[in-house]
Amino acid sequence: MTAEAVVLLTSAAIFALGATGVLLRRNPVAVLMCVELMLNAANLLLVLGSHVQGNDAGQATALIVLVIAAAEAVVGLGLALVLFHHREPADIDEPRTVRG
Amino acid sequence: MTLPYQSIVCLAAGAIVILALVQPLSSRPATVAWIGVLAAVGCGALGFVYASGIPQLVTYAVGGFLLVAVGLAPALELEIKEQRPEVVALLLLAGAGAIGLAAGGDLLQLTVSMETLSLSAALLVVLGRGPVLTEAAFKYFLLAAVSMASLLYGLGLVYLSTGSFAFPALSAHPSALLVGGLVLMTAGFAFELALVPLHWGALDVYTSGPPAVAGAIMALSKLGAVVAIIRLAPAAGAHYLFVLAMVGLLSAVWATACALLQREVRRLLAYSAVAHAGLLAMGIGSGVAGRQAAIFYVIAYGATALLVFSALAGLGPEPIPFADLPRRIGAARTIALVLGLMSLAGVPPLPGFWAKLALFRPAWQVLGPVPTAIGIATAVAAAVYYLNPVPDLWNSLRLPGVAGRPGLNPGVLLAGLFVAILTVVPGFLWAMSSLQ
Amino acid sequence: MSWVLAWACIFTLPGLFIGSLGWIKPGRFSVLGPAALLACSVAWLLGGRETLVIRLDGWLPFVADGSFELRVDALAVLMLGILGVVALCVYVYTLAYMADDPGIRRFYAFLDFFVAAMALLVTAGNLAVLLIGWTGVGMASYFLISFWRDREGTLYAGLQAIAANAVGDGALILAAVLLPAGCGNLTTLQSAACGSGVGGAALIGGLLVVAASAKSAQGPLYFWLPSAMAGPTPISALIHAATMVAAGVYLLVRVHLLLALTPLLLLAIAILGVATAIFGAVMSLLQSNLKKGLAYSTVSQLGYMFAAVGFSAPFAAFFHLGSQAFFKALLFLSAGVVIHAIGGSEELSSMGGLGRHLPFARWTFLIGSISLFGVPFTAGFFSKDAIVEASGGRLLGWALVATALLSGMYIGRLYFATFEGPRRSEDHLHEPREPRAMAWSLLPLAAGALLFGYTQWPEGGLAQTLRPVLGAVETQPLFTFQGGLAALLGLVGFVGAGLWSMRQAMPERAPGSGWVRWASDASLALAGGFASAQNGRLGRYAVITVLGFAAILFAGLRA
Repeated sequence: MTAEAVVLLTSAAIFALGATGVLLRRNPVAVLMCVELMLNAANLLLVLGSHVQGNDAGQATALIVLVIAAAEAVVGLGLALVLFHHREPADIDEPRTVRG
Repeated sequence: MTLPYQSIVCLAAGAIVILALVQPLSSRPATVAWIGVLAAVGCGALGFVYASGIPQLVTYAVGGFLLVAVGLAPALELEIKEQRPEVVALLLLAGAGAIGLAAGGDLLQLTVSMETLSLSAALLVVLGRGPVLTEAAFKYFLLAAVSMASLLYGLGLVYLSTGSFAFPALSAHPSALLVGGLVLMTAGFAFELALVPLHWGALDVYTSGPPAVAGAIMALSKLGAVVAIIRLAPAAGAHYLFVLAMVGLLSAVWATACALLQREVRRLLAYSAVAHAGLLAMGIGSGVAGRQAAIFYVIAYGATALLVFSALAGLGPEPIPFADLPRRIGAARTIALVLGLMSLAGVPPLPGFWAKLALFRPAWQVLGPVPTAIGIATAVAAAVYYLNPVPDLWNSLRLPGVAGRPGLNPGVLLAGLFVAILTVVPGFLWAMSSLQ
Repeated sequence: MSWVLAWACIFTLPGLFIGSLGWIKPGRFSVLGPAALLACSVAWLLGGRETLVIRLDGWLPFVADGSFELRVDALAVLMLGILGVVALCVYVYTLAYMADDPGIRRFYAFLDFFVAAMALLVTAGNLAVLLIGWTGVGMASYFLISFWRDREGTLYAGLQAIAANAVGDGALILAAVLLPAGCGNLTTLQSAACGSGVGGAALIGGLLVVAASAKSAQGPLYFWLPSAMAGPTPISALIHAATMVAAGVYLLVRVHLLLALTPLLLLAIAILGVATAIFGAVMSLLQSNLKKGLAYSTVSQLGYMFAAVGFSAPFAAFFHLGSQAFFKALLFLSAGVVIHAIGGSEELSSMGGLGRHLPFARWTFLIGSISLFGVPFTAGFFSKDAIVEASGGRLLGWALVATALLSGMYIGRLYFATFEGPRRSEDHLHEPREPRAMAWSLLPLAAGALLFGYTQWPEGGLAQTLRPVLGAVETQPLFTFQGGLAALLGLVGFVGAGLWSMRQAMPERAPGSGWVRWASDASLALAGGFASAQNGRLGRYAVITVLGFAAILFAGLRA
């Protein structure tokens, strides 16, 4: 197995891990962290692409994705904070006013 | 196809100006609105000068939608009254995101635009009043973040297979890596479109967000997502387009069935938004003519949805029975609401009907009789739930305290104008939606 | 005059707007709309009878024939004339009938809207324009059925009408969708180019028949019309007896050349029509409600018209459409006088012996009845005669002759139970007199019910007028054997029903429409299952979302 294939599989595994976390974790902050994991899997893929294709665009994009992830974390944590402010959900299934 | 960067810059500049002057502007809602109007008009004007083809149409549509939304800003129910400037700035940013999503020059621009759009949307919702909105916004944000991750991973796969962020060329046999990447990317956009099974977050936002904001989010995100999917999906091959159309059909059936049960006007509109998203996906899967119809549909739909939501502007997040609505919004806006509901229901000669008619023709030719017949069935079944509240609304018009209320707002007038134009001369929009 | 008539769809709009503003007493201005419609139609018939087509190209570039096309020809003008005269009578009648109703202004607004949509339907030259009118009348019908929202059952009745109409609208949309480019003009649908698409002329024709049978309450789609009687009686007369329900027949007459291309389709229409005629007549016999009895009678009479279309006799169908418009509107409005007088009840059990108190209504109801079961030399006699003659001696024609017996029986039963015999209720009459506006508006309809047949005399005048549209029609002998037999059977039925109903009690409860309930319950249960998925749990949403991504990815990769 080539090194590239190993990296590709690793990134897929991390992505799947993140997705599983989103599915299974109950705590909002933990879910947010799992989403970050998925974003980082994408980053790994971009860097791998940059290596395989021999251009730098992928690496530059990885930096942009970092910024995107940061922005997302800011908004996400902010929202989680407001949500905690109104009530304290230890469980993301807890807030269910909007339904039906 | 020239890209409307100037329009994006204009909207972003408007947003930056407002955000920079938040302190002095927070007590001057009219000035804020005028800056917003200026940016929206500038967006369309710059599109007229510098862009052409679909991007030009997108700048017009986004400009128009923003004009309506900004016109509604004074009617917003906000947690903190002084936050109007932030709302207008976020609306402008969402508009910039929608243009970038629809007209971005490469895949990375699309990704960043989608992020701009969904973050602005989540923030816009949370600025409204009450804990329900926080809940809706958090759900929307979290599901948007998952979609974003899918989008980025798809981007990585596409880059790995082609070595660039340019739109992949059409080929008869795309590699599995490329198809996987494109599927993940379009699935991410499908979240903005609110397709089943990715519709949960959008559904809650449309229901409980402040009406003025919900309408703008609905119109902008659907417009951006449709054009983005139209530009990306064909490269993944005909098979995937068919899958997309079938997912759309599922959405239409699902949402139509759910909407039949709703007794609250905004929940009804939210489900119908999912049903419309389904029909849009059917159009995207129906060849070149179908994609033209989808663009036509999404703009006609956006104008109508904005008309309905402008009529509801100023209502809080609590559910309101149909018969009480006229007392809350006044006679003139009730009539606008009825008109908008009829257009969404697909009553000729309103634009909602023209759009469906335009969409089913290519669907019949590409997807075949059975999916088209099911699609038409959902479209006519929609009449049942849309027309159900109409007599109630009409009856309540003459109740005391309804007629005298000065109900009209600039948003209703403007959206009503758009709908009227599309009713009488739909042909010009059809010509502009051409993909050639 | 043709130019004016082409825009017949806007005649009632001034009434709609001015009436809604509330400056003048409700209904006074609106009456001018149908009056103008009638006057212009008559002027056209007396004048040059010039056919006119107005066409604006490129209106809807996304459908097969996207032009805006209006067409004024003999068929359209006659239909407009019928619409005008019945609408005028109903407008005048409503002045008295709804005088105490707080919603009368809204009522006239809906009426104006209906007449406008119906006029557009009639003058439509192509499918795109037809769709507007077609949906418009359906909506007006729904609004007016549910006019008294707070009364029990009106909402459900309105929803039934929407549901049935939706089936028809869907069929019409499908027809508009699958026509090949350039097709859509209603008069040239039979051309070879238009039959070249999927399914060809048979499929297009079949879809139009489905649309027409939804509008005209034929076959399994009959269920909404009896329920529609929940609306005010003037509406039952105008929309659910005379004009809108006849729109399906009108459409089939319009496209008879297309239908003629597929003999099997014609046979199907004939069987559908005859079966519905018999079914409607039997159901009418079982009703305990005066208006529902009349509604099933409308179903039955529309079945006659469908049968005529199936016999390739569009002229006979249109002829009967005209007669039926007069006598059925007359019957409904007379019934309305009764209902008004006894304070709103429609049950036969609260009527009986009213002929003494309401002599005018009794005579007009009797005139409508004899025209319905076809006493010789009334309008109904001539038009029914034309239909059974057109059957060419087939078994289906004989079935229609036999149905005349049932027609006589059900209308006789309704007449005798209402006006003759002892009074079955102790209540006092709510309004012992017949208001003048009501009485006057019945006269033109009574005249039509008696005399409409003579438009064929001398030498087939009506058929000659329609010749440019419907082609040559054989002028039939005055009195065919089958027609005479039908008249005789009708008379026997009428008298028999009279003798029988003097002694029998009325049925307490009428059979309802079973399969509709089933269908609506099933769809609601399905919808409930779907909606329960949206349970507010973010965790569940996330699971379904991620699984959704996986499913789409899997399906997309399985190329």
